[in-house]
Amino acid sequence: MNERLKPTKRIFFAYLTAPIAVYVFTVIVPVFYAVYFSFFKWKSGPKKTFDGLTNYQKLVNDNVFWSSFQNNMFLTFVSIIGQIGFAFLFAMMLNSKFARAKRLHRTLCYFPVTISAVVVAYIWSMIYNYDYGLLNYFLRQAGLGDFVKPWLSDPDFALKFISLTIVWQYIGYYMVILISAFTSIDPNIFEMAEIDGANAWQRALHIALPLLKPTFVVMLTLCISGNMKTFDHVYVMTGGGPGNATSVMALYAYSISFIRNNMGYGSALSIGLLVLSLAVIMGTRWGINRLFAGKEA
Amino acid sequence: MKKILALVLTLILVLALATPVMAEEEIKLTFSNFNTEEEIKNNAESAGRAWALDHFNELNAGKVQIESTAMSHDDYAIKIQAQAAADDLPDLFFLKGSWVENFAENDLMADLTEYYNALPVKDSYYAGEFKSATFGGKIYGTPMQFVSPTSLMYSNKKLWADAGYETIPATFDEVFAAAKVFNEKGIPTIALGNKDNWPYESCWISCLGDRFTGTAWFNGILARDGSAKFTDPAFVDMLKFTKALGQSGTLNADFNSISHDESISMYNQGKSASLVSGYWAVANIIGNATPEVKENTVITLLPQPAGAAGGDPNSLSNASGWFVAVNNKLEGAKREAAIKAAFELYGVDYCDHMALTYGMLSPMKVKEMKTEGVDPLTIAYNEIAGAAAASGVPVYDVELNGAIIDVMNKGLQEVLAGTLEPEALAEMIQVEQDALS
Repeated sequence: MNERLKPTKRIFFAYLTAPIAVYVFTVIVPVFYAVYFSFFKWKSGPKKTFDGLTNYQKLVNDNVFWSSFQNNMFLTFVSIIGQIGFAFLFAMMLNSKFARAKRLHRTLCYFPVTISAVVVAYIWSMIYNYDYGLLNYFLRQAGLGDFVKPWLSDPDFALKFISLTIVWQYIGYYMVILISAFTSIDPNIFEMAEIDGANAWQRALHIALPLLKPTFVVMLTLCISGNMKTFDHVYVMTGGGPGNATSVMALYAYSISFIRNNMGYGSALSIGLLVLSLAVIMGTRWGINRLFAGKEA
Repeated sequence: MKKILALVLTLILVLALATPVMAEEEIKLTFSNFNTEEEIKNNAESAGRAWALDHFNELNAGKVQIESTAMSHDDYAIKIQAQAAADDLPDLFFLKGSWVENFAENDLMADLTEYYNALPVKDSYYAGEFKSATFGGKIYGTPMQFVSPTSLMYSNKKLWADAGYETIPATFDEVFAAAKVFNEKGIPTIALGNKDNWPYESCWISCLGDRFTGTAWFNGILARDGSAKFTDPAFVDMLKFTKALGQSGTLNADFNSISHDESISMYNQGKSASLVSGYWAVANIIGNATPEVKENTVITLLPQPAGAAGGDPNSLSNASGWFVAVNNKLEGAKREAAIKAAFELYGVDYCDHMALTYGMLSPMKVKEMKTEGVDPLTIAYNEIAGAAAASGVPVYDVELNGAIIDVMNKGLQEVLAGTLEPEALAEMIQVEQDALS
């Protein structure tokens, strides 16, 4: 950029202060407050008594929290395969020269991402409805009436069907990221590989994947952090139920804070969620680096 | 000319500035509630409350004015909890019985006992109206509802007659037997929408629990003196009944994934033989049911479960669960005005209005009740509810601490689904109870 046109550092910072201030106030400060409050016994009302690590001791022994964490991990795992996997597939398909109406496909794929999670969850819970839902309707029409169940009522199936909804909504998000990442790869590389006789599968695995490694790391981080804080879909579709079968960490922290009026413990749960999310993200990054370290050498 | 104009304008300015100083100071009270526009359109109780607010502001124009902020029922509970935690409550607010203990321990509400004792109309209140708002011998809220039952069975007598039952069964064993007949016809016997986990506990357990345990047991639980535990056999028996109910085929298959409103809808469309719900279903059935369902609806007490021996077989749980509370931080004339408003808002005028306009019951006994033009279902409800007014059988989620209720509600979903054993749930609830003492 022309040195004369480039704004001074001072002006850069001046423009940045406003959004950074908003971000710090709405995101960073509450995190510090949550850490602070997690050391208190705080039940409904302004009185707080210092409690030390009691809340964290309770957290470690809390079965519902750990089963919620398991549910979050399940959702994350399904999303990585479903969202990123399908997004990669679609991005490869849209990148090939045989694809027509690319713009239309991109728009339609991305459309669910723009809809509010609450609306998507509500529509899908109508699809899963026992009496009137599309799913059971098609099962009955196909003569599979015996397989009809109240899907969201069943502790074994509810979480799986919620994960289906979450995967469906966000495929487009990762697909768009991947499509723009593909533009950074020189298309000549793919053409040369095709001339050399590589089929689509080999091109994807041995050329696209390694070149897009940084993008994948970013997408994994986004996917994991997004699924660790899942709330909307579960809240609308089952409210964590039946019982605690589909409970997720964010929903559990919410119900402890506002329904059981135990905001001290709720804060501790939120910090627990934060720590576990960071741990999983770091662990995944380390895992990927080890996996690719060998290949790059 | 210009000078005269300048003089006249200055005079007007001075007068305009001086007027507020000359007028009396009008006290403005902020009031948070869940009486939204939608609620006002949909049910008579809310419409009556809206009338009460306008009526109060009219009567007290120039002296005291209430500024109301309404939000949806679920949002309200969250917002008030957040405001309470931040010590930022409005002057007047709706208070739920189960919050009284926590709020009282934080000194958030004004003590209304003295004012209540001096009230000339205090004997007009139904017995038990103030019960849930009383803690440690002090009264913290004024009632706004009749001690309304939450456990009534609404049955479609035509559907039952078609199945061979001329009268609605009085025991659950008979209901379970009838379920076989109804299942062959393809409709559930009783509609239950327990997705939000409160309906089963609030509408079934509050009453059926009492049939097993008796009210003395419940009072022991409230007192937390160790005389009653959730692991006591009577309560566990009630949980065992819950498990049996879930597996009996009496309920609709998707009872844990549809909401309470959807279950009422099911009944309204004649898709279930019966419905267990509270006083709010009366208005819903009158407003939304098909003419055939409306005509054939009868209201009865819940049937008696087998093995329930600890309580009165005809007990009906009821509660005045919501109150108007006053912020304890108010002082002087504003505090006086707020306390007076809390009592007057849903007091004599409101009760007379509800009786004469809708033929509905309210916190106080009235001289005259409208019967002409009132739907027969409302009259039938008034009879049952009025007869049980002094029963004193409590509604669990109005009296018990929110933490216990949450564990109980979620656990009941699992017991109904057969994924949690009754004894295990009893222990889980008792752990929560022990943590509170």
